[in-house]
Parts: sequence; C-alpha cells; structure tokens
Amino acid sequence: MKILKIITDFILQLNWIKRILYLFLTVIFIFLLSVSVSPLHKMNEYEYLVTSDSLFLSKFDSVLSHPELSSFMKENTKVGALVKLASNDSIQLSVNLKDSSVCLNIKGVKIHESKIRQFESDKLLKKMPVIQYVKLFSEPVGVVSQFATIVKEPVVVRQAPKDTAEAALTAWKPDTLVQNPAFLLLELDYGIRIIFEQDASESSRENWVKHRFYGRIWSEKSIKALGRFFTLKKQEYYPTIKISLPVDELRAIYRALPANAQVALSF
Amino acid sequence: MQNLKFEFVNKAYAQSSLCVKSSFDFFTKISHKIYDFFRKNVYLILIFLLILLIPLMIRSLIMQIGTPKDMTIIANQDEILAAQNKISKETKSLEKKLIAKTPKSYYLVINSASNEFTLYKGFNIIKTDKCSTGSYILLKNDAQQEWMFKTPKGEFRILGKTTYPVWRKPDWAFIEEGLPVPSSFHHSRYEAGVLGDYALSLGDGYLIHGTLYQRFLGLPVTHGCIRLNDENLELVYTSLSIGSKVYIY
Repeated sequence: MKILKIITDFILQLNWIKRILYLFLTVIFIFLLSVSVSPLHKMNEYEYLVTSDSLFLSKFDSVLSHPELSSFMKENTKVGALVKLASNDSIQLSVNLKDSSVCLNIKGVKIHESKIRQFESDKLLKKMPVIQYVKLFSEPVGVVSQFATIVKEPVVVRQAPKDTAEAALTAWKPDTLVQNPAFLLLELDYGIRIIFEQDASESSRENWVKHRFYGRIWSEKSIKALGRFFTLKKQEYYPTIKISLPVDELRAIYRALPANAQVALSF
Repeated sequence: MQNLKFEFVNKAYAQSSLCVKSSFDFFTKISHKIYDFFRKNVYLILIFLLILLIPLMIRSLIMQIGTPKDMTIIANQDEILAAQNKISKETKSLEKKLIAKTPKSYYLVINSASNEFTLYKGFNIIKTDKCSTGSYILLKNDAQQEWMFKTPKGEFRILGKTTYPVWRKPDWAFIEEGLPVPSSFHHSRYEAGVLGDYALSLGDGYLIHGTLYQRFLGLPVTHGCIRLNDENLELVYTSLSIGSKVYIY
C-alpha cells in the first residue's frame, strides 16, 4: 500500500507530458519483459510435446535419460532420423553440428558434404534434456519456409529470334560471374531456425546484402512480437542455429532443396 | 603592397579565430544543456536504463538456469552398461541399413550449381571434374510456346547407352536459331558428331553426352542434358552400366 501511495504521489506531481512519457516507458518495459521470458514458453512447449505423448513416454526407458548415456542416445537419434529421411524421394538436408557438416542426401545416399566453418547454437537447444531431444529429432524436421538472398532458379527469359540474322545478333553468351551474396534462413517445425551465411563477407555489397537480410529477419520478428503483445498472446521464441559455409556450397545446397524439404538435425 | 598583404593575413587570422571561438561557444552551450538535462532527469534516465537492462538480465538468467535439466536417474552401473550396449547395437543396425542404401558399384553425382560431376564406386571417388548443365533459359516464341532449359534434379538411372549418337534436333533447336521448324522426320533434324562418341540416356530426352564446345565446360549452357569432355565421357560410359544410378542436385 505504501509503495502504491508513493507511486500515486509521484504520478500526481508530474506534468502531462511526463505522464505520457512514463506510460510509454511502462508499456515498453512490459513489452520487453514479455519478450525476455519467451524462452520459458518454448521450454514449456517442448516439455508438453513429451508429456502429452503417452505412447512415447511408455516406450522411453527412464534409464536412457542418464547423463552417461546421453551421447549414445544422441547418436542413435541422429542415425534413426537419417534412416527415416532416406524414405523420402527428393533431395533432403542433414545438419550435424557435432561433425561440423551439412550434407545433401537422396534416399540415404550422401551426394554432397560441406564442412561448417563456424557455427553458433542456441543455449536452449544445447541444454535440451535427452528425452526432449529424442522426441524432437528422432524424425526429420520439416522446413516450414525458406528465405534467401539468392534466387532458387536463375531463370533467364529469352524471346525466340524471328530469323537467322536476329539469332546471330542476339546470340547468348554464358555469364556466371555475376552472383549475389548468399544468406539463407530455414524455418523449421517447432519454431527452430537455421541461418546459413556465406563465410566471407568482405565487399561493401556483401555487407549491405547481409545487413538487409538480418534487417528483414529482425523487422519481421519485431512486427510479429508487437502484434502478439497488443493481442495479448504469448511471445514466440525461435531457437536459432547460425552456420557459416563457403558461398558456392551454400548456393548448391539452397538450389538443391525442394519446397517441402526436411532436415535431419543433430547437435 | 606589403602592408596590404599583412592586413589581409591579419584579417583572415582574426576571422578564423572568431569562427573557432564561436563554434567552441556553441559546443560548450550544447554540452551544458546536455549536462543540465541529465542532472534534472537523472531518475528518468535511470528508469530508461533499467527498462532495457532488466529484460536482458531476465533473458540471460532464464538461459543460464531456466533450461530444464535431465532428470536425476538413480541407476546402478550394470543397468547403465546394459542400456549402453542395447543403444549401441541398435545404432549399429541402423547404420548398416543406411550404408546399404549407397550403391556398391559405380554411380554418378552431378552438382548443377557448380557444374561439376563426381564418379563414385561405393564410397570411393573415382573422378571429379567439370561438366555443363542446364542454362535456365526460358525460351518463348510468338506462338505462346515455352521451353525451359534446365537439368532435372533427383535420382535417375541409366536407361540406355549409345556409341556415335546422332542428334535428332527437337523443335526448339530450330526456333532458337530463327529457322523454320521442319517436319518430324525431315533430314535436317538429324545431326551426327555433335554429341561426342557416346551418349547415356536418363529418360525424357535427357542425355549425358560429349560436346564440341569444350570451353563452356563448367558453365550452365546446355538445354538440360549433361555435357562432359571426351575423356570423362569415355570413363563414365565404360563405368556406368544400364540401371546405374545418377544423382543430380
């Protein structure tokens, strides 16, 4: 009560400009607070995924959660997910942070392997309990959306020439020297995000594309967060893995992935 | 004359020192105003900093101690060892399943983004070199017809092998050159020598063949087929048999 009185007195002594300012700051504070606790919602969501699946729980022996068995369980989960990924007809992705490798597979055959130069993994994923890890990653994770700074298919539209003279004039010369800097965002199921970025961003154009890419991700995230705040919904948290790859390999991976891609994720 | 010069220099000096002084005064005034603002609104600034810092601290606290831990499992060493053996056995059997999916014999992998091919035998690389794949040109004509020159992606099999193949030119080959399209079996449709000494069919008209334009190898220039140089074509032709797998990505 005393605190309330102090606050009321404090507010009453302010002029209306300062009252609005303090109100605005309070709203910002509540908004930032709601965003800062969003990882808790994600943890609860993952926890619920496990506890709501009684079949999975009944099959999962509690001994398997023992810390000594965690590396064995993770390896088993990884191989199991790769076997399940092999049942898919199209090209699929496997990301293995332990081996620092990103691979493309078709029907279980590894057709491309890129070595990860650098990566950053989310703390929430790193500290995930084994039971949640097995539940989430024992099957390939679906890609919900893909966004990149390069085009999937670099289509060049060409009008057919009317005669041989025009054909000789408009003869097409191959030119692959002009390439856009490559940055890729894969949004997976369970709200997980994988950001692939080219390992070297030295030119001003590359840096500009990089800032625009991250700017777009940040602005979309902020708009969503504000929308959720004003509609009194829980804030979303996106556990993010950031991977650095050579630019040519990143292009090959993005162009090979089909629209309904799946990822076998292990870390 | 010398007096005039001296007067001019003196004036310029006086003007520049005045300018420096006025700008110095301006910055002093501004800094005083900022200082006054901070002094008067010290609570407001503190509150603003707290508004930013408290959520950050809460977030880092959640990430440090809020993440769920594995349950404390009370198990004796025998139980753990038995579970470990069981998991290892299961993992090995899954790995065997996965390894079995890779062809034991020769197969070809084509990277259409970098225009490179790799010939494998099981898990061993036999040869990696340049090739040419689809140009991604979308050819349109006035009759609203369209042709997309891209190499399909996925798993394919060698469906046929030919030596000294003769190219039967499709309609787009004439349209692209501004020539009238001849009848289906017109002699102008048949051209020998342009596909190299060998051709391997992937189905739907897509071939692995040779090229006269070796300087374009490593570039996306084809109409969807895969072009190799003569030496690589011979190696691929002799290594792959009908039914061998070709993976394109």
